[in-house]
Amino acid sequence: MRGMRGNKGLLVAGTLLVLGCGGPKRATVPGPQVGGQRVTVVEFTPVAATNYDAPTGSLGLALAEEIAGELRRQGHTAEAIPAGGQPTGDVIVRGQLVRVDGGSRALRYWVGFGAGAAKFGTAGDVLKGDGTQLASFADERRSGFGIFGGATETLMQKCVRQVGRDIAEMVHTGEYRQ
Amino acid sequence: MQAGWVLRLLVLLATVSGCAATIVRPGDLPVRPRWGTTAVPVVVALEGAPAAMADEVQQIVPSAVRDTQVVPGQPLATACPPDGDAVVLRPQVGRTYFATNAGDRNALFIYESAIVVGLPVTLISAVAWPWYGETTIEGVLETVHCGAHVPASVVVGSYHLRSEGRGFVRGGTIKAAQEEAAARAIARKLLASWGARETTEERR
Repeated sequence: MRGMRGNKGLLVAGTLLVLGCGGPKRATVPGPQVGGQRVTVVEFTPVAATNYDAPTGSLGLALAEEIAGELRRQGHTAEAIPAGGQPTGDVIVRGQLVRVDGGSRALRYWVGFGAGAAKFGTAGDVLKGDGTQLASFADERRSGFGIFGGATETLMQKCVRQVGRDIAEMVHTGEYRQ
Repeated sequence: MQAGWVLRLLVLLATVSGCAATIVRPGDLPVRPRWGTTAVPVVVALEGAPAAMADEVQQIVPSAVRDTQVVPGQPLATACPPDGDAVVLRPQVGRTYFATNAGDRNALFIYESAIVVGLPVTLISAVAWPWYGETTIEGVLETVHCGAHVPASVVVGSYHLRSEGRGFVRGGTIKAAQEEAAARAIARKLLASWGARETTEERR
């Protein structure tokens, strides 16, 4: 009986782990698609204040690489560059991190139901090579489930990956969340 | 009863020691660029570069003279030979970002191994739930043409390396293997970018 109860608990925990990051539903605005054009994703500039203990200096670069990687998987020519680089693409994606919040592991473990979730939010623009704005976007993801509350860094990594995929999807489909 | 403890111990040992075969495959790295510029001697200042990056640069430019005078932060032109006919390169690594799910996996394996009914869960998870590791690395390549009276040019770039696999593996093992491979990859990418830029300028 005890074993069965334990297995049910594990099943629930496993399902929640697989679900990964969630995010609020936002309205989408149609914008241009970038088919056949070279895309340069510039490192996202970091947010000034965070509730996150680990260094945030490389999160913007990791996000840019995630977006470029996802765009390449969808058949685009895309590359990410650090903030000091010179963008050379026909389309440039750039933005800033607006929220880096590690949440609370104690709340995630003892309270659950979304309390203490880690949050990662961005906002940015899609520009032509000459600087003309094509579209703007915003996205945020949160993650509150993990083993024993989930390590904050692991949850943040999940959110960075998910936001990267979201932005790549927006650029790919031309449907931008605001 | 005893068999259960032996199995637990074996699984715990496998989790803690990690036994995944290959972390980074050769195909995960960009192709090593061919060094075309042989007319001018090359001097490389490798003091600020990690060992893997220094080794990679020396493999790409085997004819390069390794300079030991320029320390990080000093002007690159100080490495120019007296006759002034050379190109000086200084590759360096910037920020790195590492992400993996190995910690979560191993926490689950250790917990499951602690209860006998969880042993099959551990073994199935080790196969069905793949591990991954991601490293993003930033690199900078400064170059100066001695005697050209132009400021040093700077190429910045980044490289993203992702590895996946199954079985038991420690996060530290993934990190060490990926850091080394990423340093090699960014060296290749920077030298390829700089080589392409030089070729374009020579054609002009």
